[in-house]
This record gives sequence, structure tokens and C-alpha cells, in this order.
Amino acid sequence: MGRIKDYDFSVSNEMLLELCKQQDQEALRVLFRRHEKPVYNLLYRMLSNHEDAEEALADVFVKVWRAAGSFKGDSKFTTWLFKIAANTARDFLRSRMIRREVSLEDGLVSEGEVARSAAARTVDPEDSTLREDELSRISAALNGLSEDDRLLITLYHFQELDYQDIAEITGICAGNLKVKLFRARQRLKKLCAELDGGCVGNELRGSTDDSSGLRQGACEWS
Amino acid sequence: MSGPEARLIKAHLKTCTECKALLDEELAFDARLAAVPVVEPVNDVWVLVRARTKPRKFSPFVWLARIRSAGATAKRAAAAAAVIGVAAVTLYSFTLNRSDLAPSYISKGAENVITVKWSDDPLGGHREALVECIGKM
Ligand SMILES: [Zn+2]
Repeated sequence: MGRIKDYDFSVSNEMLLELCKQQDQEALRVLFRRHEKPVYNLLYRMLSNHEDAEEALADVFVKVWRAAGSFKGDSKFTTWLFKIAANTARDFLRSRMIRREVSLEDGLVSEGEVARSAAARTVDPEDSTLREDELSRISAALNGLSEDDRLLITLYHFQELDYQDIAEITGICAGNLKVKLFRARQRLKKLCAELDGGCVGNELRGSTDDSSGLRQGACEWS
Repeated sequence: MSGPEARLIKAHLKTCTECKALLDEELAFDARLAAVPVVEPVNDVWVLVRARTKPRKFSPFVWLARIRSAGATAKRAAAAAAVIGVAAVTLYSFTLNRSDLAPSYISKGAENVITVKWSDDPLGGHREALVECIGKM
């Protein structure tokens, strides 16, 4: 196959995958260029460091190459790809025990690096520091979540996928998904509040049930 | 959200400070998460992928796929050729059997018929006939 422009979408992902089945490495290169950023973002949010995320990114596309023949076309290519990415991230977390190694403090450092490498848009150093702190806190809070919660938050809030895609990727049924996502979000919010230095304005917010994440407000509907 | 339920909620939010505070808090948290930047790989990871996905020089599976795909193309080409062939033969035999479809000058007189045959003579041995024809024009 001749060289395809990386963002020439007249050649569909499915067509490129078909070519991958026939050992066309150029087709894989185009798929890689098209999807490396969102896949990397997912992996980074799951693994919390660049080195592992890059290694996992390579693994994902090697799996795409090898498993091209197993793609049946009954789901979107991107859903299939994110499913591979999510499983790869889980494999990484399990095999390297990253969850045990990465402390909240590590999260703070690595997110600081990200903020710098992403060339924080603000020029004011004070703003930049505030922004880095904020990113560090969110990253650290994410690290404090379980794998499953982190995956849900990442897919919904950072990858902006819809419920149907998330249900397919995670294997959680659509009915349960909203509840699980809500609870994951409440847990993340709680962790953020703790890292922010206390529960801000708790007197206004009612209490949060830890096990469910559901609020027990005192409001009455009129 | 739309419809009567949304109107009910909006009306409630106007009067209930607790729910309004909850909503504001959720929206603020959404904004906080939305502000998290997209991270990009620092290195070109394609180099790693390329090294690990070298196309196999010979694989029975690949060749099978290629043959299958080539077979499909060949089948289509053969079908097209067969259709064209049948059409050509039909047309040819139809014209042979219908002398009325032949150019009208053929039946008018043998002097006007030109038979083409392989020869070193560019006029195919019909020089006299041609000269006569031209003379009559
Ligand atoms: Zn209320």
C-alpha cells in the first residue's frame, strides 16, 4: 500500500485494519497516528507515569496488529481499540503492582511534570504554579481510586465517551453504569476535597454515604 | 432534560438553596475535571511499534488471505470476460444470419464488393476494381 495521509479519513479505520490483517505496516502506522493521543491519554490517566504509558501504548498497537483478524465489526473500531487499551492498562497495573508503588506523592510529582511538558498556557508563574498544584491534586486523587473507578472517570470525563461505548469497553451493563459512574465521581470528589485541605463548605452540602456515594440531603420537594 | 420534569426542577432550584448549592458544586467539579489537559507522549512510540510489528516474510495465513482476495478479483474479471464473450458471439452470429443488415451496396453489384485479404499489395489485388469504381464516381 502506498503512503496514506495520516488524517485522510476517506480511508476508514476498518479498511486500515483489514490491511493490517495482510501485514500492511503502513496501514498500522496510519491507525497509530490517528489514535495515539487519545489512547495515550487514557493510559497515562490509568498508569500515572509517562514511561509506563508509552510502553503500554506500544503494547496496545502491537495487540491491534496481532488481533486485527479478530475484529468482527460488531462494535466501532474506537470502542474495540479502547477496550484493548483498558485491558492493557489493567495488565500493567497488575503485573507491575504500580498501585502499590505509586503513592499520592508520586502522583503530585508526575503531574507536575505533565503540566510543564504540556507547556502550561499561562505565562504568569504564579498562575502556572496554581495550575500545576490543581492538576497534581486531581492526579493524586485519581491515583487514590480503584482501577475500575479510575477507568470509568477517565473514559467519561477525559475521553468524553458516551454511556453505550463505556458499557461496551468495561462490560458493565448500561443500567448499572450510571450508578457506578456516579459513585466513582463522588469518591473522586471526596478525595479532591481531602487534598484541597478539608471539606470545603460541608455544612451546605449534606453528608455523603461512603459506601454508595449517594447524598443524604435534607431537602424536601415542594 | 426537558418537559414538565425540567420545569419542576428549575422551579425547585429557585427556591431551595440546598439543592442549588449541590448543583453548583457538581458543575464546579465538572469544570475542574474539564480543565485537566490532554497529555501526549513525550517520545515517538511508533518506533517501538514498528520494531515489534515487522511484516512476516512468509506466512501461510497472509498468503491465504492474499490468494482469497486475489481469487475474488479474478472471479469477478472472469465473469465480466464471459459476459462480454457471450455478447460478442451472439452479436456475431446474429449479423451472419441477417444479410439484410449488411451494408446495402453489397447486394447492388459485385463490382462494389471489396474483400480484404492479407497481401503485400496494399490494394489487395483489386486495383482494377477500385480504379473502375473511382471512374464511375
Ligand atoms: Zn431542594
